[in-house]
Amino acid sequence: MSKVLRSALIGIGALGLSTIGIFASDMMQGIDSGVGNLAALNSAGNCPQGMVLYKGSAMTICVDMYEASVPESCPLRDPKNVIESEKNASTNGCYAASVEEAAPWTYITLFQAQRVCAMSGKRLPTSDEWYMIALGTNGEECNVNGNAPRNAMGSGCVSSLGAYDMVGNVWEWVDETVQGRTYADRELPVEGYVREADASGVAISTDPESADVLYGKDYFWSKEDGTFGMLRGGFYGSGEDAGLYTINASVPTNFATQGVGFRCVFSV
Amino acid sequence: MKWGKVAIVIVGALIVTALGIDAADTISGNGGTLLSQVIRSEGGCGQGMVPIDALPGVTCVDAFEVSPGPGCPIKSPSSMVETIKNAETKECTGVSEEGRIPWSYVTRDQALSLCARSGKRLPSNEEWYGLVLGMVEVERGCNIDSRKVSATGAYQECVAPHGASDLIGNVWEWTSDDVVNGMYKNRSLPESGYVSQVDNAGVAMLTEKEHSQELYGKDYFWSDAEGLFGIVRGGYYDSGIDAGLYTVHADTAPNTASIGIGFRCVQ
Repeated sequence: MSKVLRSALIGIGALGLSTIGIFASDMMQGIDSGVGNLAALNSAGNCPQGMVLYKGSAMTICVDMYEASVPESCPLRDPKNVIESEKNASTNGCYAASVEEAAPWTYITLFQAQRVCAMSGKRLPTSDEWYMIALGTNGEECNVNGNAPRNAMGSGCVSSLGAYDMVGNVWEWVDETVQGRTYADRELPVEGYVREADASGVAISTDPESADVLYGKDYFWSKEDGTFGMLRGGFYGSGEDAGLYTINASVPTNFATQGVGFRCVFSV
Repeated sequence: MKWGKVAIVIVGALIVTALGIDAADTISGNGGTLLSQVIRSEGGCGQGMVPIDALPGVTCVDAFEVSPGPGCPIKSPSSMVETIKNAETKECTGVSEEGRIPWSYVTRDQALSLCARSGKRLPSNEEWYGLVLGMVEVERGCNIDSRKVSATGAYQECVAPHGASDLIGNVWEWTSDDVVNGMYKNRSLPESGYVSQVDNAGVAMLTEKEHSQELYGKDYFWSDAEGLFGIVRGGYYDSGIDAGLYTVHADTAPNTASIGIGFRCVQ
C-alpha cells in the first residue's frame, strides 16, 4: 500500500515540478517578467534567498535581510535622483533586490519604493512590522557616523531576527502616512528625544532637551500641517540620534536623498 | 538552455521524491514532515518551553516567567537601569527555568527586545488569554497574596493545562498590545472596576463598582480614558483575590518598570 502511494506521490510531484521547472527556465529567458517567484516559500518552507522568516502574533512574513538594492535587470544601477529611480521603477523586470555587497537603492520616494517592492512580489513593511524586525539591533555596530551609505554586508549591525542595517546606513521607508500629527488614531508628540513608545516603537511622548538612555537617545520628528511619510532607523549621519525608536514623520512622501532607502517584506 | 531546463527538472524531481517519500512516511506514521522538522526540533519546543496546540499562531510557550540567564551580569535586576545593563550585554538572554527569580523591573520595550533576542516574541493580549484558559482554583494555587516574589514554579498547583507555571500571580506579565485613549480593538473599554462581562480575549466589556457576581471571581480591571497604555495581565504576588484570568491592567505606561511586572515569551 505504502509503496504504491509513494510511487503515485512521486509521479504527481515530478509532473508538477517539471511544469514549474520549465516555467522557471522560461522566465529566465524573459518570457515572463519572472519576479513573482522572488516572493514565495521554497519547497522546504523557507523564505527565498536573502530573506528571513518572522512569525508574529497576527502575521507571518518573509523579510529582506538587506536594504533594497538595484539588480542587473534595471537600466540604472546607481540612481542619483528621483528621475533615475523613476526610470528604474517604470522598467518591466526591474525590482528591489536583497543581496549582500550591493549598494542600497537611495534617491527613492515612498511611492517608488512601494512600486519596486511590488515588482518583487513584495511590499514595504508597516511601522509595526519594521519594529519587530529591528528588535535587538545594537546601534553601536551600525553605520551612523559615516559620510555615505555602505554596501549591504553581514556585520554586527544585525537584529535578533537576522536583518542587517535596520539602524543607520540609510533611512527606511515604512508603509505609513501621517496626517499632521495624527497617526493610528492618536496624536503624535512634538519633535524631541523619545521618552516613551507604543507597541510599534513609535513615540508617545518626547523630551525637547534631554536624551533618554532607555530609548538609546533616539530622536523623533513630527510636524503639524501636511501629509508626511515615515522613515525609521536613522542614516549614516545620524550619530547617537539613530536607533530603533528613531523616526522622521515630518518628511514629504516624495522626499528622496542619498540617505533614504527601504527594504521589502511579503506575507506568507 | 535546454540542458538548463533538464537540470532544473531533474533537481526538482529529486526534491519532490524526497518530499514524496517523506509524505508517504508520514502517512505510515514514521515521523514528521520535512517542513515540521525544520520548524520544530526533536521533542517539539526549545528548552524551557512547552507545546500548545489550541492557540492559532502559537506553537510553544515559556513554561516559566522569564529570568536573567547565565550570561547576564545582574541575576536579579532591581531597577530599570540594571535591566539596561543586562540588555547591553550581548551574551545575556532571558531563560525560562524553574527555581529562578523572575526578571522584573523590565519595560515593555525591553520585554519585546529580550524575547526577540531568544528568537521568540511577546504574546499579544489575546494570545495570553489563550494561555491561561483552563486554569482552575487559581486563588488557592497561585502566588497572589504572599506579598513577595517567589521562585518560578514554586507554586506547583499554579499550572495551566499545557504545563506552563505562574501565569496567574507572582509577577504581572506584559502583553504586546496598546490601549489608546480608552480604546482597544476599536471598542471603548469600561471604567475600572470588578469584571462582570468579557470579550473573547478575556478583556472586560462591563465592569461594576461593587462586586456582585461570582462568574469572574473578584478579578479586577483597570483602564484610563486618556493616554496610551500597555496591558499587563494575571495579577501579582500582592493582588489577593483581585488576581485571575480576567485581571487586566490596561492602564500601565509602556515604560513602567516595577518589581511586580515581568514577562514570558511565545513562539
